[in-house]
Amino acid sequence: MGLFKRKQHDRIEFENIGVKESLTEMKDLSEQIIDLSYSAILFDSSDIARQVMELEERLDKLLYNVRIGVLLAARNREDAEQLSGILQVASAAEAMGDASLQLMRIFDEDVEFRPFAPFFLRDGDEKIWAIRIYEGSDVINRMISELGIESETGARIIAIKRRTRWLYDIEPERRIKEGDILIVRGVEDGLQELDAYAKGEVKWGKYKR
Amino acid sequence: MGEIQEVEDPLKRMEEIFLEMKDTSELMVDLAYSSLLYNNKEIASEVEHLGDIVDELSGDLQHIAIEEIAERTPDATLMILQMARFVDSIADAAMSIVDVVLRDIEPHPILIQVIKESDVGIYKMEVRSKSTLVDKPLGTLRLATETGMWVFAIKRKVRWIYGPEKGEVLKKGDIIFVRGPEDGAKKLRAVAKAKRMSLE
Repeated sequence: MGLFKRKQHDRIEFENIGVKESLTEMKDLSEQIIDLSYSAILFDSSDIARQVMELEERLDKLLYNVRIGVLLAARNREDAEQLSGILQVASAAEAMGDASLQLMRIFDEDVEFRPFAPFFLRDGDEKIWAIRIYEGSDVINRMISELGIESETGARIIAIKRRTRWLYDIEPERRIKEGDILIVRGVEDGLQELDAYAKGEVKWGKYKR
Repeated sequence: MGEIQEVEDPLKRMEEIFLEMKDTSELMVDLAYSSLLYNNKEIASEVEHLGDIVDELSGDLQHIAIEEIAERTPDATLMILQMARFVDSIADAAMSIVDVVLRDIEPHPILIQVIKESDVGIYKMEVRSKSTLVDKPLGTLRLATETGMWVFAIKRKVRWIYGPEKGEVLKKGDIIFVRGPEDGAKKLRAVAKAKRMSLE
């Protein structure tokens, strides 16, 4: 299939965003990329695997940003000692991205054992589910932030499949549409709760929050 | 963390070991960021300890894979080993985060801000004596479902409980360490302080 191309060694442009902003984005991305990696395997999805690759590239770029920013900030030894901690955390986030990319390589392997061992991810403290939004559910056309899905059910949206498109940028202002498939992570009873809302079996209600 | 039980089917046994590795690696990441946020060496050492456990489990897993499975289902074995390697790398990354804390240099203020401003927040809160959380097992409180908050550690007087089980009963004065969204944290904090009585 050739999902993976050899890495290009282009010159990385330095983006003038601060170290703090870059590292915050890295931390968020490193958590998202792990969830996406498990999801890609669970749902045998090379689309999600491709997104993992994109996020990994972004992590590389951000790490570069952090490195430059940190190097420019050090004025003396004490500074350097404290700043080195920032580099360490940024590298750790990037390492999580690398590990994810590495795992996605199985999509390029000629493996008959497919879908890939989803039973391995069935249990665990938190689970990943795909939940479809059915006609009649009152979450349709409402914003994720307005619903407060995560604080109400504990289910964190990792990605949304809308018709043939995948949405990975889960902004709080995003609205849920009929037919959406939400890839969510959470504990089982919370996921069941969300599933009941998604099927329209239980009403979310207007003033739930 | 559950005990690994001896079961007949080696594939099932591998699944159990893998899941324990996965859960432990996730706990390690939560603890690693907490150790930074609170500049806490005790938590940092626990991450190192958990890292050793993941290493051991990984060794067990590879052993079973090679001894019992490889011949029958080479593809499944390859897959499982790849996933184990993935979890190992996540655990290693968590270990390198706590290195910052263990080095005896105060973490840079930017690191604290980064953890506070990221999507998934980490918070700690005290369970007050009048709170409805007191004397209830975590399993019946269903905090993750009701508030979106995941309790990954508890400090009880001088003792730490990492990755508490569902049966763990919360006591007054417990400091709970939780991960989740900001609005959920606010709600839980109000309940822990007994300013709000219901989780609904």
